[in-house]
Amino acid sequence: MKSAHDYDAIWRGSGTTLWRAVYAYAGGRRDVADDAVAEAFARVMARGAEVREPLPYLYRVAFRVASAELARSGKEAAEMPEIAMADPSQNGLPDLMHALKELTPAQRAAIYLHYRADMPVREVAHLTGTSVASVKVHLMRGRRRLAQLLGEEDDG
Amino acid sequence: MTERWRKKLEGLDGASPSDDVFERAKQGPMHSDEALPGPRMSTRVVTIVVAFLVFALAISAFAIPALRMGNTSAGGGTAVLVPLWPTQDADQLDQLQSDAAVGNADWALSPEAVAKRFAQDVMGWQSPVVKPNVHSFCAFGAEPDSLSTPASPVACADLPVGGWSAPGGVPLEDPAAAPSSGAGKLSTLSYEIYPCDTDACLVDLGPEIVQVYQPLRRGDGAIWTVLQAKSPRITLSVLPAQIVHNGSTVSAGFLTNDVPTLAYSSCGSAAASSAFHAPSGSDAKGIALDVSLSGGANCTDQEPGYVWAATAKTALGTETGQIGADPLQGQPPSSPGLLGLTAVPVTMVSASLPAETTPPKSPPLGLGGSPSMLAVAMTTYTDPFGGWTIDVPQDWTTKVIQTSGSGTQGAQFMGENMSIQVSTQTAPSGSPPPGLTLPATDDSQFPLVANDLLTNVEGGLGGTFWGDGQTFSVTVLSPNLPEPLPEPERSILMHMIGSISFKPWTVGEIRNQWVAIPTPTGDVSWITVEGGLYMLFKTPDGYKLYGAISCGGKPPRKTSSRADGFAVLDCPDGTSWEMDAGGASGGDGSGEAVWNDPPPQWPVVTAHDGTLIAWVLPGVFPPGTGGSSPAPG
Repeated sequence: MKSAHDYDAIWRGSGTTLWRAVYAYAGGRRDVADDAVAEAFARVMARGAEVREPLPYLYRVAFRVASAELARSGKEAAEMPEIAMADPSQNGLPDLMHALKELTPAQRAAIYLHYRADMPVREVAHLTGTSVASVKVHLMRGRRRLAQLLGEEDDG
Repeated sequence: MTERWRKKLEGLDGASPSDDVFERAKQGPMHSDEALPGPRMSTRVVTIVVAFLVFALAISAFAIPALRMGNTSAGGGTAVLVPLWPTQDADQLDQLQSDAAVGNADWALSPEAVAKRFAQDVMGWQSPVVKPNVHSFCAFGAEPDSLSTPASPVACADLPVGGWSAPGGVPLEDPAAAPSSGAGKLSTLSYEIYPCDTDACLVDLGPEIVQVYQPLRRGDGAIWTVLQAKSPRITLSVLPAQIVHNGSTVSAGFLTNDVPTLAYSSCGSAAASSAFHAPSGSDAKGIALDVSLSGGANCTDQEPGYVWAATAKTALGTETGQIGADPLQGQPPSSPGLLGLTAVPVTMVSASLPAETTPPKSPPLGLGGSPSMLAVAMTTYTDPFGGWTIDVPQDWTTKVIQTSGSGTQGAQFMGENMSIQVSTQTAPSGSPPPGLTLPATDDSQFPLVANDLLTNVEGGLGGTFWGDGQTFSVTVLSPNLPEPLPEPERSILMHMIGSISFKPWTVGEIRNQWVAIPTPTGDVSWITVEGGLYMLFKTPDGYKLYGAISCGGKPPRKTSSRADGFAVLDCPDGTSWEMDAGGASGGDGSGEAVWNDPPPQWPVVTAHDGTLIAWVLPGVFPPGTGGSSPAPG
């Protein structure tokens, strides 16, 4: 099929952000994030011009693949995942990942995309195929829960 | 503080995809389309039902008043049913039939292919997906005979075949060829159309629905056309084949963050409006558009036309009120095309509505002063549907009004010089009553006072009151109106209106899908409504009811309330969840308790006798809400 999009460019520009969103969604499951993102890219490349907006498609398929894998394996509540990082002691990531695991996958994804990937709420909603109101609810609840788990005040 | 959370999440930047992720992608998909989880059918159906409810609640704030802006069907004219698409011209339909017969338009012989082509040519979707739809709808507001056979034509009741052969219309040439399932009725098929495969097209409110029928004759070898299209986000004030007069008003309600447009077109006359307003307290948007038919040289007094309301990323109407690009003429907006479309064929009549049907701007009411002593023997009429009662002169005749499905229920009381109709609009089981909004309106204060209730309307007096949670209309007709009513009609009317009453409620009692609930003693209560567990909050703005709540479909371990206004749920798996009246909620972990996020809100009103009554849809739990979904996503 004729390629309608520059997938290499999409991978370079958005692949890592997508992967980290799925990684957060999956509660730190690197294997799930790798598989889901690879599958999403494979599917969008296979469909070519049929997919007019590759990025929302990638996000939605990746989240669905990750969701299916999490449901299938049932391992989300198991042991702490392997965490890929250079120096955990400097950024408190283990604590953060412990806390993130207490959130729902949708809350985790929304929090990462909005607060870390700097996406406006509307864009998060567009990419994840949900409403702006739903994203706001995920953010509010996730933020409040994170603050509680990390022993901090949620000041908005 | 966004920056604070941004900083805190910085650690995630230390995580990166494995080196081979993109290379693996280039090898191709590992899963088939079917292996990916899409929305479950049951979940989607529930989503559609709930979405419809929420939409109806929101939209009624605009749509119901808008319907009153102009009676588009009153006055002269003969309803003519013509297709919406691909053409409304009889000669072109014949040509399409001829082309199809010789293999030049095979698509027109397949109802599914017609729906798909509509999705491509009108909606502007390049690769649409078409599926049979079980939620069929009919023209003229008729009810489908059956909803259980999505692969078969659905017969619509009370639609006479061949009854729309007026000039300009397309007669059904072979009424005798009606399918056995619906002889003498219009048979249609309905399809859901999606802009892409449903794995990637997550549908919040349900899909676009396209209804097709065979306009020339029935059976194999006859062409199919689109009768109407309906978006769950858009409602129109006109129905297929409805007569729309010059000078009347059409309107549409939208539930969207995108750009809405309302337009009509008929025999060279066309207009569009993308201006909208949102009623206070509602997310719904509405557009009203006055119909102005120029009546060109080639136009007759009555012409086929269509009215459509669409949402898109950009406005489809121009600043001068014209249609910028008409999707029904094959001019959909560029990618991603239309986001929603509700469109119906209508009959446009160049004559204006009769002048006398235009209500005067101000009284006289025809009522005035206090009633004189009533010297007329009365009897009490009890409504067989709602149980309300009214005093009626003994020598008057009474006609009970009942239409099936979504229609009118009530009664008309007729004397020699005056008739009074008291009626309410009903909805099919499982659908909200027309006019129901959030927050809902409390019942009226009884006894009603005719002078306060009634105002001048078309040809008489009219008014609206609330009883048992429902809105009732009163219409008074008399040859004396709008001049003041003479005695004894004046006194009879005031007595009859003042005698309208409703039965007291008992907690747990159900009437017209409303159920009486106990009045709470505190600001936060857990109550059981029709077998479901709900949270009831008492606020300065009235009562708010949320639910049903459960622990993944199981009963909770404990329910309680806190002094800070939160209702608290504890589940058997150890997880807990809480919510306040404003909708702020949260739970710990990903266990049973958090699956309640966010629960739907249901209307609660104070009935005429002070009892609280609620309207809920038992057993409905949208995905991720209400505790019945086994897993999010």
